[in-house]
Amino acid sequence: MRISTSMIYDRGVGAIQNQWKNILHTQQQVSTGRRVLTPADDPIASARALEIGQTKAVNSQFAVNIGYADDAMKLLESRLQSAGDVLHYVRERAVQAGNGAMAPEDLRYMATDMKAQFEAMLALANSQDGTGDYIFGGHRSQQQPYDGGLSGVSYNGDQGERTIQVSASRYMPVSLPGSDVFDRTLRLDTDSIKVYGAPENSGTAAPMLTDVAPAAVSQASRYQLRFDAGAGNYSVTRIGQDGIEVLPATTLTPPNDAIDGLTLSLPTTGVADGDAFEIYVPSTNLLNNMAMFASALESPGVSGMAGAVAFALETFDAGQENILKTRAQIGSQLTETEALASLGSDLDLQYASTLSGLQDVDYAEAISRLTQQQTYLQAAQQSFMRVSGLSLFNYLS
Amino acid sequence: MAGMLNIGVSGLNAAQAQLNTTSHNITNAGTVGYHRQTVGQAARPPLFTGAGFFGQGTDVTSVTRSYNQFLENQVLQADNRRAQYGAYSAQIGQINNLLADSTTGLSPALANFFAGVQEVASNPTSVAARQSLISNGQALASRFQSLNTRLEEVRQGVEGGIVQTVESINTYAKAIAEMNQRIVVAQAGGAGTPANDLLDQRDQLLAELNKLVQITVVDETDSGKANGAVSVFIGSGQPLVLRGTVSQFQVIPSAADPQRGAISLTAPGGNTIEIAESLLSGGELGGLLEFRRVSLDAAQNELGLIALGITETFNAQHKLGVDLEGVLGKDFFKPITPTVVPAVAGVGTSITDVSEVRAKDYRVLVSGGSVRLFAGDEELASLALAPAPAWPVTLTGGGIAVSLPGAASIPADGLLIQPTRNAARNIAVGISDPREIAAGGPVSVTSPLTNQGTGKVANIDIRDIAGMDGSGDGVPDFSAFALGFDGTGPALTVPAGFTIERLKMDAATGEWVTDGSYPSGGSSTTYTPSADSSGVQFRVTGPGGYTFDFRFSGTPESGDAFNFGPSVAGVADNRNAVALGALQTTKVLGADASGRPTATFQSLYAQTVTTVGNKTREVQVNEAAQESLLDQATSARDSVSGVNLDEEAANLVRYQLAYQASARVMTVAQRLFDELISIGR
Repeated sequence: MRISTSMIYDRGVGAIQNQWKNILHTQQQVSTGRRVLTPADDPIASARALEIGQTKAVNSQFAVNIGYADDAMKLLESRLQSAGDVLHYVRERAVQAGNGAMAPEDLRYMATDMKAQFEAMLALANSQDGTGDYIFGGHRSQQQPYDGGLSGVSYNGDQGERTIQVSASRYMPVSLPGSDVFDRTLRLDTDSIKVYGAPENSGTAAPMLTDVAPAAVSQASRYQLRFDAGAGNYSVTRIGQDGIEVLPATTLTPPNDAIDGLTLSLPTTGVADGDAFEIYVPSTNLLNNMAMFASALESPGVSGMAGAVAFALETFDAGQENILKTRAQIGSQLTETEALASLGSDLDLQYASTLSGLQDVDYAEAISRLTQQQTYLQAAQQSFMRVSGLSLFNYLS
Repeated sequence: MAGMLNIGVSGLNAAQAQLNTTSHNITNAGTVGYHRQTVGQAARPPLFTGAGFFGQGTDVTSVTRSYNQFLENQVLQADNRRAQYGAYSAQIGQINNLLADSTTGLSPALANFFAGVQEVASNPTSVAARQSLISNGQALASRFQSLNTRLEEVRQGVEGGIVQTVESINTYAKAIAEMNQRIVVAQAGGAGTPANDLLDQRDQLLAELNKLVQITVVDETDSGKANGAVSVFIGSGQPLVLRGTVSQFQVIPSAADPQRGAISLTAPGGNTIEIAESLLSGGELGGLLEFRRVSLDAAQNELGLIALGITETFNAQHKLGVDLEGVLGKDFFKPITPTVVPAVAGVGTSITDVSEVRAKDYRVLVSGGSVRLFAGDEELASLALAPAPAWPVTLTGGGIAVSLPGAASIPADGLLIQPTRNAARNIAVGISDPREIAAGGPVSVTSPLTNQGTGKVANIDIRDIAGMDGSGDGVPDFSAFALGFDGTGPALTVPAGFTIERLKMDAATGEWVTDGSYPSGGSSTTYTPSADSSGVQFRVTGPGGYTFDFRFSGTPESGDAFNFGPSVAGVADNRNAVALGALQTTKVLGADASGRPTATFQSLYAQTVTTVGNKTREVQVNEAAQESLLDQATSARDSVSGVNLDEEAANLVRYQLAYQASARVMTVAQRLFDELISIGR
């Protein structure tokens, strides 16, 4: 093949250009640490890197969310623990109150203590978090969930639960509406509403609760029944949870009669004239039950301390059980977040290593390649200089 | 002796001519487009004598250039393709790096935006978190805009490049026409010998033109004999140069899309015709046009589709929630309406289903007696014009609806509808007050404390808010109603005017659909606690059409009620924020044939990046291949036509010797003459 002078130059320069291109590419890879400098270098790896990048970002957002969930649940847990402690304390006091040796003034002191515990429990139910949000208000976190006092508290929150996404498929509830903690402690039925006889009763029979219509029940009330043999009926007075009588008084007629959703079978035989009975209707709300016990300590009803203490133990135990159930749920969720957090950091590591595998440069390989290309470039330059120096004109004189 | 002198002179002349040509070759060794010239030399016709033929010396017959048409064409072809890929590669390289860059790409902005949504979901009462979501939304919008601006800059660069290329084509065409004239004149004067250097110059002009656009060169003839002129055609035979006359190329707004430049040809007669882009292949012009058509339009439309997708889906979900004030959500992003070109009064467009929208330009055309809606080349809808339909009509397809006021509203070139082209430019956050972020749900449920069972309503999922806000003040004020449980059914009950349906998950689409096959003996309201206590999805539709799903679980008892009502003061309600956050990983775009979306925002973006990356790689590889082809073709040509200085140096020595030898012949002739004269003395 015939060689023209321009070919020698064009080819030589072209080869050097190519070597420079390669060496520059390798140099950029080494200096940025990235194997894939632009998507064109490896389109598939680039797209995968984008997708994994998003997965990694989402995963680290979950880690942040787990932190929030953890904080919220630990706050809940600490408040619930305090509530449990209060309940535990008042239950002990109730057992003490059942001791027949207590003088009325001792009971009044105890009532004062009980009222203080009620306030403590109310404060817990109105707990706020660091940003001033009420934690037991459901979705209405900027409204005090419980207001009222010894004469009755009412719930102003709603039954909403806040959930936080802690993993791709897990939305974890991190708030509890107060209604689930303090309000829904027991069911109103013939088991929870009890009739207690007065200690001085001489008869053997007692009225029996046969049916309960929960919606119609007047919660946190004490009914004082007294049999009037002359009239053949029972006179009834109702005492509210604050110990004040609710008027008007009424009468119940045997054999069966109902009052405020409570259907009673009322015996006429086996009961003596003047025999008294007391019906303790608890509230579904724990706080109201505490208030009612305090008022019963102050002004015992016809069944005396026996009824009051039995009522208190039963309702406090129900409340304690509800709180323990809630704490168990939160406890297991806290364990779950711990597991998820550790899984998340494992995943993060894995995504990082996948990303690195996709787009990072292998330094050992890249640097050896750089050296190789450098050698080639030098060879190309030197050989070009040698070849281009050859000319017949050098010998023409 | 006289003969010898003449022979010597002819030798001298020939050697001189050879030396001249050699010098010409040496001095033009570096001239672009120069072809090595050689002198043709032949013995003069001999003189007949009785003893035989006696040579008369030598003649210079011609000066020819070493020119091989086949090799030249190889070079032209390779160079044409190289220029095309080179132009394409230079343009696409600009967007290749832009898209996937970890700082300038869309991904980080997208991830930050959804991280902002998650922050609001985790801290719904925090105004700081809400403000940060709005800021992140604005950052996302501005990232879209800056990417789009960059693409627009590239587009303007392409349009400018097309104009410049066309101007260069015109310049070259004119120069070639002039060169044609000179060559014809020169060759006519030179008794048909080739005007080598002029031909070289014209060939060089043709080579330069060939880099700009693919051309066909035809030698002109006069009565069957080449006259030296050439004609140049482009495309499918549109004449650019006909001997000495030139057609003018122009860039005019395309009839189909006035925003883009189209190439038109003004023939010498004055007719202007638009040349279809597909005909203009090869060369820089072909590369620019192909880049604009294949990569730039697609990249901009796909980016726009993501912007449109986020706007549509985020707004739709946002409107299903309530903000801190309990007001139903507004548009989080300003709505984006498809662009219509040209603007015709009465023509309206809207997005009906963003998952169906193609990343393409749509077109409404009248053809074959029907008005048709196309996305690219795919026909989406058509409507026969005979008998005349009741105007206005609406064509729906490909996720958009186009309403047309009348047949006259459709221009002859059709209506161009671009749902996605400008979406990335137009995306903008529509709300500024952090309190207006609708993080909460409009429907709340309360189960009275007197419920005896453990039935529970959870996961209220709002589907439609129609009729929730009767008074029109934005606050949901539908009347509260109770969902009851009837143990004898056993079934859930709703008041008159409401409907309730039992749902099941459609495995194919992942959507909740009406469960046609109820448990045996059951109906659409059946809930059997013993079998269903782990939870069943139900859908309630209220008066006015508002609809929501919920999950009912547990064991209710007869008479238990679940009171649904508008949410009030639910500031810590994050249900809608959680649903908004889920959009990040939900497939909402790119519906397949069965209508099931196949892509998330991020995966669609990744797809765009791959497409651009793959195309860039393809173009770069092709460019490299064409470069190496060009190298080979150039070498092949240069091995024939190129000047080798060593060869010329040898020639110099050789023809110098020839010259000296011829001179010696003359000296001998003179000696002989002297000898003869001296005899006479």
